[in-house]
Amino acid sequence: MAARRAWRLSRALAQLGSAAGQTWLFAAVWLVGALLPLAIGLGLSFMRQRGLQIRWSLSLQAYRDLIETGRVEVVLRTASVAAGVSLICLAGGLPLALWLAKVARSNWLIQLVWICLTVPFFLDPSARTLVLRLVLGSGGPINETLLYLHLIAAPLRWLLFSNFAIILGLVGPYFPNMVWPIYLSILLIDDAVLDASRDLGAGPWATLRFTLLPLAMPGILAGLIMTFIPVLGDSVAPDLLGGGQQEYLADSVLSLSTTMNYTGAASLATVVFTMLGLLSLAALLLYRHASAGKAGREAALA
Amino acid sequence: MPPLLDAAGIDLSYGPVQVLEDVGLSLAAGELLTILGPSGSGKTSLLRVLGGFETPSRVERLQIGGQDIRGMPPHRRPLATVFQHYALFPHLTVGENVEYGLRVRGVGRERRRRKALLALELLHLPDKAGRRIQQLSGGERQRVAFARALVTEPLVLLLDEPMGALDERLRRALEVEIRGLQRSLGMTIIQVTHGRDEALSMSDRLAVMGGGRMRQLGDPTAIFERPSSRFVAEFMGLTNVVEGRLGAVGEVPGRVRIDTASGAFAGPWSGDTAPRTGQAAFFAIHPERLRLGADHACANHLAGRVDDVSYQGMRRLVEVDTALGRFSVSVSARDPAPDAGDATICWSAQDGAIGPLEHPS
Amino acid sequence: MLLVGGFCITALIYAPVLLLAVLSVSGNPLSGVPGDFTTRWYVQLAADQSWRAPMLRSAEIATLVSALCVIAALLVGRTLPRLRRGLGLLAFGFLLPLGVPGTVMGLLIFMYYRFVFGLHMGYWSLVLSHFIWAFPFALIGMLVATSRFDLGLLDAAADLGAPPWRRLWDIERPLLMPGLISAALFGFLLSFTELPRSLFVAGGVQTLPLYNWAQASSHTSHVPLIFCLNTLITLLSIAASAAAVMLLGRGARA
Repeated sequence: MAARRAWRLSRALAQLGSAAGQTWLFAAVWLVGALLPLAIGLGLSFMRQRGLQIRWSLSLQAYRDLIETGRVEVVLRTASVAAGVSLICLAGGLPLALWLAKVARSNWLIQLVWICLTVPFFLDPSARTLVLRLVLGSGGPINETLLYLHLIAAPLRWLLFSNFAIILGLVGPYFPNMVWPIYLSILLIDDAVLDASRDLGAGPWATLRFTLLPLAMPGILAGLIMTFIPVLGDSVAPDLLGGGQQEYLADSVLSLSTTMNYTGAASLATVVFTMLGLLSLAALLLYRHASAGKAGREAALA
Repeated sequence: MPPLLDAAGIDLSYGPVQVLEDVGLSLAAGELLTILGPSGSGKTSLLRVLGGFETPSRVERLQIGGQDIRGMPPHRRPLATVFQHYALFPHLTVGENVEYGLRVRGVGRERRRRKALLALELLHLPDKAGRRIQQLSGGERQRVAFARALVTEPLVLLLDEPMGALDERLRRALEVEIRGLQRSLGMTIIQVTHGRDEALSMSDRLAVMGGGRMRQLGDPTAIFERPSSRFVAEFMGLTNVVEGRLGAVGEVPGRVRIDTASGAFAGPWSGDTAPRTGQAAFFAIHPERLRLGADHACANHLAGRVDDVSYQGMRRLVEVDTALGRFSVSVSARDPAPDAGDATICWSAQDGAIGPLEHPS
Repeated sequence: MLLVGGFCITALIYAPVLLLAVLSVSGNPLSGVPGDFTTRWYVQLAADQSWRAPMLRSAEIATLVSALCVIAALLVGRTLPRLRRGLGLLAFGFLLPLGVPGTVMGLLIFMYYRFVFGLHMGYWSLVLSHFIWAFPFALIGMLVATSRFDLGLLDAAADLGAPPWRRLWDIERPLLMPGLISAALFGFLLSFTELPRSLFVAGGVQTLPLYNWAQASSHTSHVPLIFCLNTLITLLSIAASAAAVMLLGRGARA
């Protein structure tokens, strides 16, 4: 036993010099440097703050304040905007990903779309949103054109500083987050599977519904997550296109932090995490249920 | 003359799994040895131990040309391997691939280009030096892998399932070619395969491995005709096997009798140890060595019923149910197909093999 | 026909960017209506000093983040596909920050280092938070290259007599190059345009996105200049992404 333990220990020490050992070492640094900060929100949110001093004693005060100041509604409002953006991206992204992975044959066209879907990750957040404000504004080209054509009598006010403007400003930049995961998951589906489905007499719609969509489901879920989460935290669109009439999550986080209400900010982060956790859990259960149901149907058929 | 390669007492384990157990072999210069065995028998692992890619947990002796190479890293060993999937460098051209072994040895550009071209010519690829690997067919890739290994002039060439990924026709052509190259260049080769026919036709000697152990090592005829264990017998195609006990031993030298539930049969003793009367033994014989019908040339007879006949082109395989179980008899397809019903199987006392049953030790 | 939606949304990304470029050479960009074309704003931009320091700062930080991403992605990306145990756990851990909204992540990084370690924000925290943001992307790019790398090639090189450093240089380096380049590009560009985390951890250091944001939210005379500045930066981004895609695409087909 002792010899075995000594052997294991010597192996562990030897591994520190190896690439695998260094990877685990880096993983440990990553855990302390990048992942532990995620826990701090949870910890601080149950502390009491008086003035600028954080008192290390347990309290639910931060959460009470959060509810009283209406921040929970802010989270829900932002979440509904993010959900809208995600669904629009899904509706547009699924066909595009399908086309890109299975239909498109022209190599340069595929690469062009790839580039188009890569660039948005690297655009300056202000630069990509700034112009929308000018375009949608009451003196902007859209209103001017509509007025000129006598389609409207007065400038459309809801074009700017509204949920509509925010969603419009967010759909574009985060669209690639939706397309890439779906594209990759569809790309991994063997063409033979689709051929087999067609061969068994399934029409294009049946193939899509019973073969392609279930197999692409992990990608679709990943796409929803990768869109929903960054949209939730976007600070530019609400600021430039929301006009400050309604508060969104990023505004709340910023204002709580600039007023140095750190326990408040921490509890807000915890609320967001809880919501994300519940949503992921729901998605996971839904996915499990769907695949279990499919297995059941297949068993019934066989 | 001392052997060129001498290995003995090799153990290898991956965690709790013992992959090689007390394996050894030796090889004379200019010899082609084929290691044969089912998948998972440890044959590729043995090759990787020789190449230096696996570190054995125990190794008694490992020498090449009299030099101890235990613990020597792969890049210092005077060996070259043709890998199962060739492992050609995808970012280099055919010529650069072949030159690589010379490049790392610091051979000058002109000299290594000349040698690479020579090797490619030897393998009938003289005008492919500038090609990319992706532009080659499977057979061509295999030849490039060969040229790349040859050019470093290794003392021993290791081939890991060299024909594994090729179709039947290409395989035959390459078999002849490898054999020709080996003879003309006087190369020493260890080849790993699970193809019985190519092993029999190409090798000077055969080694059969199973379950991580060396089961039998000898010339191809001996292993094909006189397998020393039931495992080797079945692997070499002696698919008709019965068990019994040895009868009287020593009446005719090299010949024994085995008593079974359905009478005694005479046959040659193929065990490694001397036969003992009453010892548990197996009898095994190739379907091609059996005949249908009573024949005075046969020393052994067995009655049964024809159950099924399947046509195989040149041969017909007749399945016969006997008191000792089902026997497969291969007869010429020119002869009329036997009728269903009673039949007698017979065979000569020179055919088949009788050997000891392995005891779980 | 269903593709129309997808292409419309793609257009929604590029129309504003295109308009930004057109407006940057228009006489009155703040009206949102192109026309009266002029290079006046570019001339002013060249004379203006205010954007230079943030630009330089962002470039420095992005270069550092890029270097860190290359080193870390190379280390982790090379070993991750070879690990027998812990693969799923490690991948999950490294990609987890992608599951946190940017502003929330910025806040948490700030609070963690401020209250647990008592550190003041600044240059270092920008580099750190940008690294945490960019590393998962760099890792994914590197994994595209390393997961299709055949370890048998290293055995083959060793077998032909190549010592370890030659295997690294002759075989791994050229075959992993697309992954290295994409890690470097992701590191640089994601850091160069990072805003939501920087809002919390900048500690008084002004980066280019922070400068842009401040300019875009206010109505000062600098606005036409940031049109020009961002047009130039966007052109560079597009060129760099195009190069990255071509490189990775070529690596993927080989």
